[in-house]
Amino acid sequence: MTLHTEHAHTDALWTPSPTQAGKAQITDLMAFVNARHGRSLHDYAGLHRFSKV
Amino acid sequence: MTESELFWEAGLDCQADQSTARLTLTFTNAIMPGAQFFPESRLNFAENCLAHARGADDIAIIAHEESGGRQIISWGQLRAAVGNLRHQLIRLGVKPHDVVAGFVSHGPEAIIGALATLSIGAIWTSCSPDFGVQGVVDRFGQTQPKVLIAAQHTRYNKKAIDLTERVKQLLEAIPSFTACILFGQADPNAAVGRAGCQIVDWLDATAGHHPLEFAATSFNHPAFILYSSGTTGVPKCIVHGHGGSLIQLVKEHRYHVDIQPGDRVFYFTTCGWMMWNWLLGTLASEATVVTYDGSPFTQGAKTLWALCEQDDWHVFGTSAKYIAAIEKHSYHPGTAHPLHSLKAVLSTGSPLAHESFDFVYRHIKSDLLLGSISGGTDILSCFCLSCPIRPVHRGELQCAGLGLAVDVVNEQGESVIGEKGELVCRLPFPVMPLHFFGDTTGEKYRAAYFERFPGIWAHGDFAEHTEHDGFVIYGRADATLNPGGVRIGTAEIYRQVESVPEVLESLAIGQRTGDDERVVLFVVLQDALALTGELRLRIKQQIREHTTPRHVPDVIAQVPDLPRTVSGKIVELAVRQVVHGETVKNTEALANPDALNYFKDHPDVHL
Repeated sequence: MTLHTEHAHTDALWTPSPTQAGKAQITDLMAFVNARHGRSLHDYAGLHRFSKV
Repeated sequence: MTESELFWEAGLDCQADQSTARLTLTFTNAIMPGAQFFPESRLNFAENCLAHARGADDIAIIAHEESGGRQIISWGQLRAAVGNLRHQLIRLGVKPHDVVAGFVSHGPEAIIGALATLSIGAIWTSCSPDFGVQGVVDRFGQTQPKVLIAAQHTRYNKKAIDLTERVKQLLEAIPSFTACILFGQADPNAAVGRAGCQIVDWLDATAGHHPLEFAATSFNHPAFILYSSGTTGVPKCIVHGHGGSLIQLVKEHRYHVDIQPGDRVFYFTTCGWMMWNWLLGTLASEATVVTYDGSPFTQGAKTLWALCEQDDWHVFGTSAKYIAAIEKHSYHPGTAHPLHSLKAVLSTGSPLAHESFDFVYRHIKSDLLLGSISGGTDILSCFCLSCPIRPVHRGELQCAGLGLAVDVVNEQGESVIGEKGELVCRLPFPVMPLHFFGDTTGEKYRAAYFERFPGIWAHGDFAEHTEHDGFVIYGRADATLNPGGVRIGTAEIYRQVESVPEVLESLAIGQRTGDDERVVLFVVLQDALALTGELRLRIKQQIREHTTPRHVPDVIAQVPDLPRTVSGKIVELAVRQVVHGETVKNTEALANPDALNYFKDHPDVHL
């Protein structure tokens, strides 16, 4: 899956590298949810929307 | 199932050790208060912390004392100690739902004590030695505890403190104790006992070869009792369950901080603060817990960073006050120490100032996740925190936690973005307190969270939802200033005032002046400096330039110290009461109640 790093604003103090984001467990969770529930979540906002309702 | 339940289920199933969670998920009522998550499931917090894949020789705990002592405890040793203490507690009559109370320093004994208690299905509650006897009695005394696990000795700032007399007073004051397990240079001759209370030495209590077993507790079986700060009355006893606290903490640790098996996680805390429970929970993510007992400045500003380097910590957790303090010391940890393994710095307790964000990235490490995190005792965890797949913006908490319908609303209860309002949670979540101990009708519970907006959780944070989908916390809603009808969070002012080098700390309140109110700012200055007219001007200028003219205090007054709670938070409400000539309800909640005298009839504040 492709992970979109959100809000790549220039005013950010730190942005995770694609490698860092790809290795994060939250990325595994997103892939797991997509596979099990047929979603196509690709960013935190989407995962959060899925998680809270 | 709703998507929220699917999420919680996925969060656990996604992990390899799902078998220990023993979750079978069903869900009932989705209305707050009263929502029940997973009422049919069985899982034990302690089992999830211990019965996983970490090998017997891997390190479970690294415990530091400020005297320089360092103790390494393997998973094998931890599991054995918990099994043996469990056996001892059962022998002392502890059954499911009984309360075991820890009057404990922050070290391995507290962790072992809590896990043994939870393994039985009994309830763990703890206070740190700095609470003072009356503060501890006010808390433990409400919960009818059966066994006391107590430190007999502790150190703070190079001072040895004998706790024997305090333990004795606790046992006298709380008649429900039938046994006490003592550790820390235990003196067998020290007469702490009273009739009907058996004294057991820690070493005996943890010796033997007893098997480690776990009660198959239900999701909502009580696990922990924590206490509200008590600044508005006797501390409330907040009860959290096995399931809610476990899945919430595991979610935060793995997905929001990205704690991996074997990571060394440090949080500067005491056993009297919810961050202790938060740290305990990292064991369920197979982390190595690093504890430190004592003053974080015993060896100067380097104290904790030297240990961070020595042990290769991965996560360094602390308070915003601590980061501000090393900033004031002009201490640069990243220059003094190679911090190769460090991947996250976490800060909580009060809002982390924008300038501190810059400080962390400039002077600690440029490549790490800086998590300003915020929640509280009420939820044993966070509403807003870090996110490893999003950028960090100055002054902002990166996101609302997964599974939490966090929102910021105006006075009418409408969602607002880019405007200040009250932080709420619109939908039920698993880590809502089960109840308050002794609140049989649930009235106190409803009043605490659901009075402001019916059916919506609000616990009194003044905040903003930003355009980055992050959050800014401006302070407590009940400390909000309201001059000329404009709502101002106290943290907006502190951030500016505390960037003035002479100022160590500050506290702002609104003082009633007829129908309006004026902003009064109290400052504590470096060393023995006096508050001159020039310094007053400079403070006002700093505030005016970086905020709005509304934020500028009408009065600035100097005080030698600020009142704070036992967990170190400054208490605006109590100062506000003193300034208005009202009685402060519960000074026992304060670590330094005498400091309130500085605010009584302060000449500069007289109307």
